[in-house]
Amino acid sequence: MILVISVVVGVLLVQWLQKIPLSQFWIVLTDVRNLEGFLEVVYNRTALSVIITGIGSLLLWVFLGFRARVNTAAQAIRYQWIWWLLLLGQIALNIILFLVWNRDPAYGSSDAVPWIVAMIILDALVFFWLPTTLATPRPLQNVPTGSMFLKHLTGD
Amino acid sequence: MANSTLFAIGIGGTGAKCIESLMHLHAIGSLGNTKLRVFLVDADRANGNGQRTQASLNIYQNTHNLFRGGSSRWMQGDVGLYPTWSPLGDVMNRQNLGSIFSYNALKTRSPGLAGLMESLFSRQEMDADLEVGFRGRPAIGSAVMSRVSLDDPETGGSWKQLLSELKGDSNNGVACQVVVFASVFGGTGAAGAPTICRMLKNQMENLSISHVPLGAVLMLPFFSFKNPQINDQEEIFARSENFLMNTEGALNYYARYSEDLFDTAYLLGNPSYEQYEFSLGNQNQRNEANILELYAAIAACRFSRLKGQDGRACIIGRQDPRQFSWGDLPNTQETKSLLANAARFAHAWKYNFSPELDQARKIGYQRFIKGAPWFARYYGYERQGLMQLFGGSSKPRLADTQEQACKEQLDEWANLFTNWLSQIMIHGENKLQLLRVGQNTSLSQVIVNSNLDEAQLRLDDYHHLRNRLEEAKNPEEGTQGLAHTLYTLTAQS
Repeated sequence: MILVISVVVGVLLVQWLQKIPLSQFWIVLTDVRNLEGFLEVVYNRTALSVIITGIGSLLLWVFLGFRARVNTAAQAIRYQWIWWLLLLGQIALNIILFLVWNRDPAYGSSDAVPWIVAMIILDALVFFWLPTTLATPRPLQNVPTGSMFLKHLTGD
Repeated sequence: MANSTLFAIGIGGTGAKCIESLMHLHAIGSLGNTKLRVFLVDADRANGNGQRTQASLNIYQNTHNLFRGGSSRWMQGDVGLYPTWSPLGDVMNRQNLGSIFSYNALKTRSPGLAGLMESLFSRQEMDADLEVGFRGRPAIGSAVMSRVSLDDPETGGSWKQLLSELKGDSNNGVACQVVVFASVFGGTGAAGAPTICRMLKNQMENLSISHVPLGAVLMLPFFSFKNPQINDQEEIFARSENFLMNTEGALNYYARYSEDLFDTAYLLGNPSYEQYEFSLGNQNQRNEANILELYAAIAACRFSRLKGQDGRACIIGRQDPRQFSWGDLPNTQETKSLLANAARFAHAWKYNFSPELDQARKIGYQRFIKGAPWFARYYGYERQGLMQLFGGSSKPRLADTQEQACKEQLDEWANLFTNWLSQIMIHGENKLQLLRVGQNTSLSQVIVNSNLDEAQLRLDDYHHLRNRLEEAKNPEEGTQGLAHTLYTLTAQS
């Protein structure tokens, strides 16, 4: 359930909520020639990539969690590398793709870079970090960074 | 409080080894909460088998003291050990047959009696040092035993303790039984069992102790050894070629003179002999555990459970002489369930959980819990970073002296139990296909040919066991709680 809620919240965030500050000019992009074109081409492509990599990483992690046969703590702790790789990997990939698409002279915007990068990081947290900290299968449930803290916080 | 007491008397090296097996069965719940009191009889006090049993009993007692009262059936029964009793008494200068019967004095004072002795015993037999036991000669043992009196303060000290406790328990309405383990083919056991049982029975009558069933577990030949290359041809020592003759003599004696002695007698033997290293006695006589000793211990448990109402003699044999299966053990389902549960628990502790707890101390608890969430159900730890916001835990810390003592004690018991089990499972060149424990054995392989199907076997691993440990409802805390929960969870349906 947590996984589904996170994905739904993530999609809403990416496709609707994060667009508002840009389309309503709360974030002013002074160097963009065509804001609609930027949102259509650069933002939407990046958003699609964020959703695909976010859901993909999440499903892969859950799959690995169910498949894992952990006989010792050391074996479980080794999964931390995979978790960080999936988290940082999707962020890095999405930033790179965004920067590539943002080079388009017709729609690109240098002013948008810090904002979109921040959004990509936030989206990764929503799509991957939050659901994995709360819903990783046993016995890897403590492997995602912050999971023990969040679980204590939520009384789990 | 225990509602029954089993007084187990182990006579000679084989008797002591049977007691060791009984103690292991007691640790895993075969006797329920029956109180076990152990009495070892051996002229050779330094006998390796007796010392091994005493060391095992000490480990059991220490483990029981730390882990008793838990939620599983493991370590529930109390064990007490009386000082080892020697029929030779405590006097150091009477260590051969000649001196015990004052043969040199008899030669001058009563030449007729001295002549009788000469006709019954060779000079070597009279001079043989009995500190190493009766050297496989029941005739020597019988002669020494015939002079023993439980009323003699010099020799009867430990017996008085036993009889006093027996009387006390009996008067308090505790159901008491006495079971004697002895071989009938060696020296001490063959000579001691009938004499000691007769004396014990008489003493119980004198003390008005009634309704205490007396059982005997008598071991027929089940091992042999190659005779040693001893230069002195006259040296007296046990010879395995005499075992059958000794057995015949002992059984004849039992048939003639001991018919009314035992409420039940269990006779155990094995036509294929285990090969042991020869030893004259002392610490060197330390033989490995044998499956027949497990049978002896099961017989005693049965005797205790049936309160001596098990008929006069019980016989059991193998279904197939070429192999050994679970069905060959008495009370198959319960025996299998108890042994398999304990073997899986000891194996899991020794090869997984104990090393894991060492690892926890090494890498730090908060990091360890990342990979072992079950740990936090049983132990508290110093929280670091943001986790400090949630305060500390009241659960015991693994680093506490008490928890470390529990862990080390459990390590010791698991080693003892797995070593015993490994020895039981080897007979000659063959391995008995019942249980196996070892570094390279997975949890699901501990029971050989278990009844689980493939799907169940896939769930029978440390991965799922760790999950179940974490999911356990209201587990007791600390190492004691962990051990008892683990014991319950390692039971295989």
